[in-house]
Amino acid sequence: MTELPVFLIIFLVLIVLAVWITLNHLAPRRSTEKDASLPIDLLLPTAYLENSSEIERLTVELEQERTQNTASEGIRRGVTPARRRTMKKLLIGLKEDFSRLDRLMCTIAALAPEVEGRQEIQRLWLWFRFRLHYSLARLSLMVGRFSQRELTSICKLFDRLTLRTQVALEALEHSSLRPLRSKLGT
Amino acid sequence: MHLTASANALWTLTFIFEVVLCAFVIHRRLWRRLPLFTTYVLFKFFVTAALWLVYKRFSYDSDFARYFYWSTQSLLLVTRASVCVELCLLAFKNRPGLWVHAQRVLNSITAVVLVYVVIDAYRQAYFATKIILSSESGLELSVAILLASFLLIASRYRIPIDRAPSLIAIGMCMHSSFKVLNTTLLKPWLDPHFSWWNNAQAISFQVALVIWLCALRRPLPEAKPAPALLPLGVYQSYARVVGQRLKDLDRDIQEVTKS
Repeated sequence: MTELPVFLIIFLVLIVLAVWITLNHLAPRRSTEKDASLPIDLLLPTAYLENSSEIERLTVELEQERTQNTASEGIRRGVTPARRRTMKKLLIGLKEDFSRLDRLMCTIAALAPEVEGRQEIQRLWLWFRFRLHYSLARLSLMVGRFSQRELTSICKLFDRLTLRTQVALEALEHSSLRPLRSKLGT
Repeated sequence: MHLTASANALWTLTFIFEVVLCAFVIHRRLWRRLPLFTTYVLFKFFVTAALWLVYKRFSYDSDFARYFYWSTQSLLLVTRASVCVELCLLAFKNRPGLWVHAQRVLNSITAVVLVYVVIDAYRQAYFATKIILSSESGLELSVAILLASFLLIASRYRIPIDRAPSLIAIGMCMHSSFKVLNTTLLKPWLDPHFSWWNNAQAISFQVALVIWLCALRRPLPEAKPAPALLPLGVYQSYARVVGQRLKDLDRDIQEVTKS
């Protein structure tokens, strides 16, 4: 006689699971055609632009620490709460930039008459790598401290972001990507 | 030997669900949109009814009942596999570029799983029943993996799939996954201790039936017109520019973790 309640429980659990999947995973998606018509300002590093003042301040501080050759102090002061907040914002911004571009490419691939399999697999691989690196970065930010070498790396990253922002803004200024934009009907 | 009371109750419940599902399929004229799924549902209904009669007439453990069960199971498996293909075609038919790529990926996955099935069946040599069982569970595995991959690809590329086909795919994927899990892991462990565990598979099919009933509860929306495709060069131009930018972003994030 224990069969019936056990079956009932299994059945109910599976039903709840099925209903949960139905409600949570079938939310209406945006149509892909609409996504493909997004403007091409996507190449701008928004992660940098949105937090540029904080990043600039942090760059100056880190640069000072690095050049003063006070390694021990640098390591001690490495991750203050304010710096952690700025770095977190930057990491989230980088992830958003990556996701937005990846989504755009997926949309374009879905609407393209020809797709290169190699490029798609490469992008998927890059997506996995990026997610892994992002998780590691968040983790190290949460628990770790910056060594002198990491400080140098972050300074380099800030320099590159600054340079890339300038290049992207100049490119937009010259509307070099306008032909692509018009092809997408924007 | 005849079916136990709980097996009888489950059988009746399955039959009722199948009757309602058939009624929904006919009412919604599903054969216009999903002819192979319609065939599967109707065939499954006839198989359930016929098996019931065979078990009543020849008893549950007779040779005829066994042969009848296995032959209908193999046919059902083939129709289920064809439903998978139908669902994939329905989602990707208007996406020629992506379909070629998705086809390659799905075919490779299926081929790998089938090779595993053949190796696994070969290892069971001299035991005919085990070969059949391992082939069945292997084919179920390929159905489950194929459908899961299909849903993942559609989700990654944001291919809009109507509610009904996606629920049908989810139901079928869940049932196949449970069957594989049950045959390979749960049944050998639990069957010796709980004789009623044999009926668990029937419950998983009932869950799939409920999901399909949910899928067909509302009228099917009108078929959307095919989306306008982009000009030929756009993908290549974007792939170059965006691909480089993605690589840069990956390098940026690596800088933070460098030590």
